[in-house]
Amino acid sequence: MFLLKQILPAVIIAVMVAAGWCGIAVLWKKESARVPLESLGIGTGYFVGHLFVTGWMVFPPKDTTNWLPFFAAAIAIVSGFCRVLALRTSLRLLFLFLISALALRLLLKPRFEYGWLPSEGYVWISLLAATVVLVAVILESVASVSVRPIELPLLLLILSAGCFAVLILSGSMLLSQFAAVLGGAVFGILALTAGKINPGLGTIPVFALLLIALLVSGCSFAELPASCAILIALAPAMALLPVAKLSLPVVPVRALLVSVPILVALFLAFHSSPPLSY
Amino acid sequence: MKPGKLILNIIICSFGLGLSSYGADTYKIDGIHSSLIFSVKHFGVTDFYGRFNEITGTVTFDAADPSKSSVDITVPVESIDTHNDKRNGHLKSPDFFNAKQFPTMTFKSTKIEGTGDNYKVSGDLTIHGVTKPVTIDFKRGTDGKGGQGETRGGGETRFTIKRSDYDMKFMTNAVGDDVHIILSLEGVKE
Repeated sequence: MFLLKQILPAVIIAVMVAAGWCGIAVLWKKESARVPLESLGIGTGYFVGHLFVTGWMVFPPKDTTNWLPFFAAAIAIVSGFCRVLALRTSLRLLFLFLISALALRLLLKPRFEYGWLPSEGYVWISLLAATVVLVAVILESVASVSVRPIELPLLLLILSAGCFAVLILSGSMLLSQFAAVLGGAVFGILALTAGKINPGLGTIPVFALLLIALLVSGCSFAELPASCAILIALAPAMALLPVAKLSLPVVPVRALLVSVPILVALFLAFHSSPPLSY
Repeated sequence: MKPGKLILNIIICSFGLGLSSYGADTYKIDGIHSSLIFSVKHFGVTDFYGRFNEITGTVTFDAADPSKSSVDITVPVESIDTHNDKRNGHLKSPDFFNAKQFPTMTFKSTKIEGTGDNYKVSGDLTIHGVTKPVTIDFKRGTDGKGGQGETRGGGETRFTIKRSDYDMKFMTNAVGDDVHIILSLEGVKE
């Protein structure tokens, strides 16, 4: 109950902000404006929700996890522009890689100060930024094979919920609250379905960067095992298994498949971290 | 430079250094016999107590001119001890101290004034990566001899800070904002 009281207000704010932008997207007649507005929806939804959790902060933030809302805003604006300008996929992904690398460099500043050699650090940054791009590519592939408008947001909600749960088990309620805010922003995107618009393309870059940044924060600053982070990051690939040919309802089966690695991650996190009750 | 002039310069410099350090004693903080204890309200009910088990640093004290004294203390956050491993882990997490990002707390004095046993020590207190100026009342104890014949000195201060001033704002409804601190220092004269 205490946890809910702590988490719910920020999540509700994130839902409202994201749904507000998506409401504008539904009312807007211009097709090309919808995806950028969706990007802004999840980006600003996360931004406001995060600030609601932490309170107003100094800039630049001292606590590097407080860069997350700025990453959300930056990637939302850039990916929105990429869609407006109809850039080629390779160029879009290159921008995503570069922004992710910059974001992860800022997030992992303490690892450079207290652990990594510069060369070692930049190898890690490159690998993690490539992982953001990989997750975005997987999610775009899932969007392209989805059979119902709700499928991709449902998948993103499952991933947010998994991220929330493993971060709580990693010993940080604060980081798990950020994951809940991300889930809230994704939930707000569902407002697009009211206008019979398939949500997803504008959401994916922002979601991919924030998901990886949260998991990396859990591994670097809390006690999240790397195996859990990898399982959650790559869980959406399970939705690409060829289930459409089976005579089963596709959406629940894909949701179930994606949940499998997440449940394994939860099991591992539970067994490696002490609960917070004391 | 001629050898005679060089020797003269060395003598002048040595004399200068000797004058500048005359009267100031440096004490290396003895982490075993020093204590940093804190208390904070839990759910508004009552205070729970914790401590940091490691304190390092030096205190330079000039009795003749206290303004020439200085304090430099470093405390590793990892050494937090609240008599409960789970709570220690949670306090070290990003929810509170974020020990992996901010592994130490420091205090560096900027101004010391007072006479006898009572001093006002102003300085920069850095916790959770945030530095704030504070002024504390420090009561000096009497010097004594240790088991090895070494000279020991020390003193104690009690003060209160707000953790939210140091960007530790999470769960202020469960864990109070006011943190009461007792710092008792003992050092070995060098």
